[in-house]
Amino acid sequence: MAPEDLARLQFGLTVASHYLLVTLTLGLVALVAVAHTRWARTGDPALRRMTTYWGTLYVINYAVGIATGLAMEFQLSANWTGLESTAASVFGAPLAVETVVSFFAESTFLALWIFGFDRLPKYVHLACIWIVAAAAYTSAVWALLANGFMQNPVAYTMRDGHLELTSFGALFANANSWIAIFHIFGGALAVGGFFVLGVSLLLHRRGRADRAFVRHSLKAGAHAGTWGAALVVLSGTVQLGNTRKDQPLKGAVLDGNQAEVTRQLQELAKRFGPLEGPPSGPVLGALTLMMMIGGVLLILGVWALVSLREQRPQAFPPPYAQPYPGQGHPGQWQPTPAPARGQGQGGRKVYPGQWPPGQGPHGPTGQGRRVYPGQWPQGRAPGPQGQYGQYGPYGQPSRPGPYARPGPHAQVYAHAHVGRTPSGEGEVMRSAVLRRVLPFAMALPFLANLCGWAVREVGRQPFVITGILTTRQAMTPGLGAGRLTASLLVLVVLVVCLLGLDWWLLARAAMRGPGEGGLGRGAEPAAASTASAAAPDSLGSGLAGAAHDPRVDPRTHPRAPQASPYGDRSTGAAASPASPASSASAASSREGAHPS
Amino acid sequence: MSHPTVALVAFIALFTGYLVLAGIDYGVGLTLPRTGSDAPGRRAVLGAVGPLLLGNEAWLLVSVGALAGTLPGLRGALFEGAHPYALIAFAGALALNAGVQLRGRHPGERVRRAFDLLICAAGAAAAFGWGCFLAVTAAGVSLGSDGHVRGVAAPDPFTLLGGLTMVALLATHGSAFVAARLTGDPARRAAALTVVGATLAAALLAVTALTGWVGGSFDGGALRHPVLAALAVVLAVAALFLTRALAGGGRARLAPWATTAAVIAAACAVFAGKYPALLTSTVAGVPAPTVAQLATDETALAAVLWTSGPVLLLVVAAQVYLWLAVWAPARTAAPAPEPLEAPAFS
Repeated sequence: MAPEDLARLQFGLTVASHYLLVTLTLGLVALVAVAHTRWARTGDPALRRMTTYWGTLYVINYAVGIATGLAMEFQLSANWTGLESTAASVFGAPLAVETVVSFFAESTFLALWIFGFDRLPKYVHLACIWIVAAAAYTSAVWALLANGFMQNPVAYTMRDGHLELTSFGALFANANSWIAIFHIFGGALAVGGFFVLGVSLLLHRRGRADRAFVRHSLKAGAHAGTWGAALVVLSGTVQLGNTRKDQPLKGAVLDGNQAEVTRQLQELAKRFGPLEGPPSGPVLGALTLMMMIGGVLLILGVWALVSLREQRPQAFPPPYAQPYPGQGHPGQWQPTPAPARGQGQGGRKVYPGQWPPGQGPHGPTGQGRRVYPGQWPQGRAPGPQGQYGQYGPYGQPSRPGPYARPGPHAQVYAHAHVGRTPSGEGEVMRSAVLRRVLPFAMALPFLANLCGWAVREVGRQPFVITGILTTRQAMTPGLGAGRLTASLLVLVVLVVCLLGLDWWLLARAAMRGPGEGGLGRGAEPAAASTASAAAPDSLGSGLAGAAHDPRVDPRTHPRAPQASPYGDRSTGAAASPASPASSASAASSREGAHPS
Repeated sequence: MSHPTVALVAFIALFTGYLVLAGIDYGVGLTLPRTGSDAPGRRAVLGAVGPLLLGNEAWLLVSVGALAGTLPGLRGALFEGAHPYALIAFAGALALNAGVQLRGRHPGERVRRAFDLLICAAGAAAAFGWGCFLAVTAAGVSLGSDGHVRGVAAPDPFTLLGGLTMVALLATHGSAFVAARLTGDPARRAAALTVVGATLAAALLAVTALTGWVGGSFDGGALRHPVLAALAVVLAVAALFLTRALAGGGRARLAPWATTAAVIAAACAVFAGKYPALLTSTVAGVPAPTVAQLATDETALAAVLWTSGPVLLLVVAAQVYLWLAVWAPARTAAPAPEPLEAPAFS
């Protein structure tokens, strides 16, 4: 292979690995920030588990992403000095700001966030993860400002072979960059969303996660996946049109217009000598595959959202649906006799099992105040009630509210969920097809991102900076094939090892489930160490030190619930031997006890 | 002060900060087999530096990234001239990060021993690499008259001694940190190691400076301010003796401040000695390029400085906050965390 091809192969492999890591980082950090916000506002322990669990996976992925970033930085200074010497000011400025502003802030506040579990004030801690998320996304913005310049150079003058930046504002306002920025934000969200969907379903299947956690995660994942896919498809459409305008050569390749490609290459040959255009077949193939995946993801995402909807019980039973008590089939509306007047006065107990997970008597648990299972919030006891509790006589709730409100109806809702709705002991997601498909669909957004990268970067050939600097000119002068082969071997081994290591670690940490290890556990009293100040800190325990505990058998683990404290019917189901869900749950604990 | 000068000073400050902060990680890593006698001890030692690792290591990319964006000429020449040493340093930093992250992921004691060795070797490699890098910077690179570097610096005694000095210095720095942050057996071992390390580092530093001076490494105007450089070396040696007295006298909590002063003084011996021409040529008759020649153009420079400067200050403030939180002795019991409710396995 020619030196140029070797250098390109090396850089391509490194960037592809880096990009795979970075999209997941970007996708996950947004979900972690949202989960943390909801946890901070509601105090729901399931949301805390969600924050720490996805946060741990995010941190692992982040740490490996830095390493591949270093490998990239090395190649830029070793193999591509032609680019640096020509475009250092235009290309280097955004990248420098990226490292200093975004990366530094991201690392520092991430360290603060990991440290801050149970240590920092609640909202300071929350601010940390939002700063991390903002820094991560601005980091992508800076990198793409540099990349957008390479696709569509603006705001520069050429002075004796060096590009000079004329206006930072114009560099910032490059439309090519911004379309790509939104395209990649969408792609990253889709990666994170489908990753969360797939992993949650796997955890659920293996019985490694509680129901409330799985439900919260699935919902967040489905939203991120769907809106991410929608953003990708939208911005991708705009980008395709813009490419024809900014980069006619790439546009012609994407249109499959071979005659136009040849004509343009002949034009360019007058200025740069003989050039080779981008390989039409692969680029076009990648574009087609990416578009198909985009469509599939959009469908899967919307389907997942629909499949996750709670089936809200009707406020008032339609007359035809009122069999005598006990005669309806499971899932059908079953009215129960209302308690006598006065029974519902203050302090009435609501038993576990009467609320959908995460829902209290007044909407989501603890919004505004904490609602403990089995208790009415003070001053909110249901008043005297008539035949239909708080509902008016015409089947309209007397107070509008998103979720079923109890009255004497609580019993009714419990029945209404049985077997039919996701919040009962039925499946966490209604569609069986989706439950099978989504764990595999995790791979699709990664693949689509790689395809998109190939279309953008391979499609830019033969230029590094469109119309200014060809790939051959961008290389370090006098770089031999021998030295390149050596560094290619070293780096490919290194980068592939890192990527493999990352995925292995992620899989291990992920399949451990949200119940054990993870961030913030170091602060628990059980972890107190002999050394005074050295109670292993969060990073030390969650990532470096602990998580050393041998895997705990969920059946004998002291934290494994015998009776769930918050209205989760899963344990109730497990108690009844006839229920099919109980045998499934028993099977999953067996599986949990003997991990593969 | 012109923009290129600001950028130069910023780089010196960031890189010195990197050496001080990440030096703790490398020092803790390379003294790990000595300070942690058993598995819980080693875990406590790594736990002491754990929460700070990510923030500390960020300074490397930040200082190099800022250099690349503001003074690309300086970065290109330095990293090309000292290429093998920078490679060793980067590889060590990378391996240390990965090792500390991965160590806890495997329950096997033997695997953890292997990781301990890797962490130790990685810390030593990073310290050695940066020591050599600083020595090469002090002596200058083989810059041709066309502005291109002719080849990498050959490993002469001064360079290698520089690497060894940095290993001893950072080992002292790291063990002083462990002695200050922990109690019990690891702290006692670390304090003893600090005393030995400080003596060794002081001796090596003096020998390295003398070797460079006698061996002619600073000939041809490599150092603009030789008096300042000598003064910095003397200060570093004095700080190391102070470390020795503090660690040996049972005031281990104060010793890291003295080692910090020693690391700063050692870095300043190079940077202040050469300021403002950090890049000098070992080729006779080639003048040192000025800062302005090494800098990028004015628009880009102003943009980088004005965008990143304020954020940089904010982030440094956040790091200070993190340090204060971690460094504070556990005087008051932390408020008990809310009990976690049991996860229900469905």
